[in-house]
Amino acid sequence: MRRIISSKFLRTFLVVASFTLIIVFGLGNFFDPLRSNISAILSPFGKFTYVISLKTEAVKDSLFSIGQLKKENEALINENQKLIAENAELKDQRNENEFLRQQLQLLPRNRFTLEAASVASQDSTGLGNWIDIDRGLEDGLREGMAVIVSRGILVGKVQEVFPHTSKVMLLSHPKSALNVLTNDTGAKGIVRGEYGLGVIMDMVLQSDVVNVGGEVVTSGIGGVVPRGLYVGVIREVRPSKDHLFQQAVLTSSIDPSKLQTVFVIKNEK
Amino acid sequence: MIKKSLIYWIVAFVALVIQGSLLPVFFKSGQIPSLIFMLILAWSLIDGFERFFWWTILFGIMTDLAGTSALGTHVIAFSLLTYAVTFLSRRFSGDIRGGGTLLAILFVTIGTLIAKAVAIPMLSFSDDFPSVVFSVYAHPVEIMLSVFYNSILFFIISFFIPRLKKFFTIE
Repeated sequence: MRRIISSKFLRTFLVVASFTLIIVFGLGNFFDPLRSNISAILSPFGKFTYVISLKTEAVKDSLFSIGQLKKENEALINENQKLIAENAELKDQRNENEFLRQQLQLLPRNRFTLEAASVASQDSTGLGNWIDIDRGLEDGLREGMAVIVSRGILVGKVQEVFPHTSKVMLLSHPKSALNVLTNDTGAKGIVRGEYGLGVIMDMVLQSDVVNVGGEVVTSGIGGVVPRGLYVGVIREVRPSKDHLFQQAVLTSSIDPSKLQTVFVIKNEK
Repeated sequence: MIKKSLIYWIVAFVALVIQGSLLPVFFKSGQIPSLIFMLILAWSLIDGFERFFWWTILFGIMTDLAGTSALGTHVIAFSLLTYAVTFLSRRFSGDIRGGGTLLAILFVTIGTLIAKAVAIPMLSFSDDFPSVVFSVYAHPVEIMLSVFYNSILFFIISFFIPRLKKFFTIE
């Protein structure tokens, strides 16, 4: 008995019990100012390491694809013969393409005031639930602001703001809840993360029509996140666990682990 | 003592930066190695419970404040890990080198499972607890891959820490 209740066991037990009480009663919130300081110290090192990692990953990808590039090169040489003959028509098509790109506007600058931010680090638990960015209170950011990438694709919302950095809760976070609707049928629902593995559109009425392949955008209900931001495309439709509603599993066109630059919507113009 | 504290803090700081900014880029979600946990594991075995226990608390606090987990989550995880491995290593008189390789992999497996358990308090806000636990531990291939990557990290860290301590003449 004495061996079991050793001082090591007692110390461990006391620490575990103390911090369990801290978690249960939410006493850890008193240390939130420290989070800001630690975030400010980690951010520049994190950003530098993140950029280097992405560049290294890109080099690694290109090294592995050398064999494939060789075959593509041979095919392109053959293709080039045809392209020389079609050059005049291609030039005309290129001009039209550039005009259309300007009209489409890759970034919705005419609708929103945007703040560009670099990603400094990601969720260290590996679930892809949040990212750190290098903009904060001093740059006009506030909690709840929507975060997008080009073409108005929503990636998440600002969750915590510090003077020079912020934490962004991604759509895949289980606590993330967003009012959305489908573009084709107008079916309304709530998008939330599913245990860090994906995003689902939940609480869709049984009477609403939800089609596989349909696009889902924000509905603007609640007034926090603007309307019309792209969320994802419906991959699968299924009944909810209690069979009272429908659920749609969404696929996003962006990979959160490869994010480098994001844009925070500060306000709608 | 000051030198030792400084070195320990710098190593923990670098580990946090690598965990958040480097490993998520190179590894798929769910298979990302737990560098911090392997660091705690290796250090616990090298320094022993008496000399390292209070550092686990400090590093746990720092890890919680650097992330979004509630203060205390990593403290509890690190404390349990330190106690478990130092207890088991005494029981089995294991050594990291030589015949203790299997024991080391057991410790790494324990560390990996505890590292995955850290995600549970953050996920179990609105849904039933068994489903949350199931979603965290339901992918045996991912867990095996995590153990594999963590084992490599553990042996690398176990190789460098004694040399680091020797280089800086830390006890």
